[in-house]
Amino acid sequence: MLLDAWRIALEKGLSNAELHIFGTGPDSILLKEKLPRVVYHGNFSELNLASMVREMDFLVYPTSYDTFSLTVTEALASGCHAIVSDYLRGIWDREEKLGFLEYVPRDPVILAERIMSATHNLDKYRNQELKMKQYEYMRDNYDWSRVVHKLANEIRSRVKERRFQNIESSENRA
Amino acid sequence: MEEGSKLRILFVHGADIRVGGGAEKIIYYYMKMLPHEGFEPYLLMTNLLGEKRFPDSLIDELGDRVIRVKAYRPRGVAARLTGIPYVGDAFDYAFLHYYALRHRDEILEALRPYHFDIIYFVSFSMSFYFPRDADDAVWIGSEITRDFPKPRGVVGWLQYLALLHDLARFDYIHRLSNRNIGETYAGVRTFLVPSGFRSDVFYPYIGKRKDDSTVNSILRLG
Repeated sequence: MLLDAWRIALEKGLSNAELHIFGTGPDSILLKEKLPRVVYHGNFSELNLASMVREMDFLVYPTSYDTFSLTVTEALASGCHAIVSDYLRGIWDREEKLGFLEYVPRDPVILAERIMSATHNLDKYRNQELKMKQYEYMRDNYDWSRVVHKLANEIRSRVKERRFQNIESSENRA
Repeated sequence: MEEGSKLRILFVHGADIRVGGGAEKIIYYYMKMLPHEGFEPYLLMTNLLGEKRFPDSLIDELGDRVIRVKAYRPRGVAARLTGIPYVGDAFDYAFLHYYALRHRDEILEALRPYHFDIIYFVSFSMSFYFPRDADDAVWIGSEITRDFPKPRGVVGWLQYLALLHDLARFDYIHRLSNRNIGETYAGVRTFLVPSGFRSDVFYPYIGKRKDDSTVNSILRLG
């Protein structure tokens, strides 16, 4: 899907962009295909990945199966503008309203057009003030310490609730 | 639950954490950070390991809180044998349940020294290894590894019904996003907590970029 969109964009004259692909997975075999201006990176440690992601301008993520992607979270935190598949609609709606992310249909022609138009707004997507605002929002909402704190509270309250129910039902039986 | 006492939680995952995908990364951070929140987290993981993206040192880091068991999840084997993905998936699911029935005692033996307040299944299907009436632990399922499927075709429906059967044994489902969220998830109550990131590792460039060219870099991960 992404490579199809890339091929279309190149055919339409996209010249001022590079596509960097990180990681491996079931689609890795497809990546053997050599396309111009595509760099395949494979897997990295988290630290090395982070230093490379912050050099990027956009995340393009045409997934059709994620529930809540770490990839999108980490790219948004790194200041990238995210162009994600509308399969993810409902997950990132707050971030979309804030202008950090946009949904596109899973259609290579539309995706290619969107990539091309995004590459014409370099100043906007490299604005440091906007990137920091995006980072601060992500940190305040998704930093692991906050997320795990929230999870701990949720679990604790479920355990209390369940134990209360158990006591109630044993009293009823008695 | 006594006030101030630590809650013991067991994460159950159908693969070795060193696989290092998104689910494993999430488990790793739960394991690392829940002790700061008054929890005593343990991880039961199987020996299934394909590509290893996390280093062995990660297991050492988690220490004796990792419980390893052998498991057989012939994912993809039946699909390759039959050449039909959906039929293959159904066979795989059946094999898993058969194997779980045969090896349940082995796993329960590994867990005998512990008493868990919460059992958190990262993989729904691993719940088949656990008898529901074993203790009073709260069972939580997670959609980390799968969104709820939309059944397609006869085999798809059979899988869907098997999944409903598995899910019926959970007390709660942990959802990562509010997409399609209702009061319940296949009849089981839900709560919502997203996954996270390390804000000391992932942040925008500050000052001059390494590559200050006018070439746009477009990134695609995973």
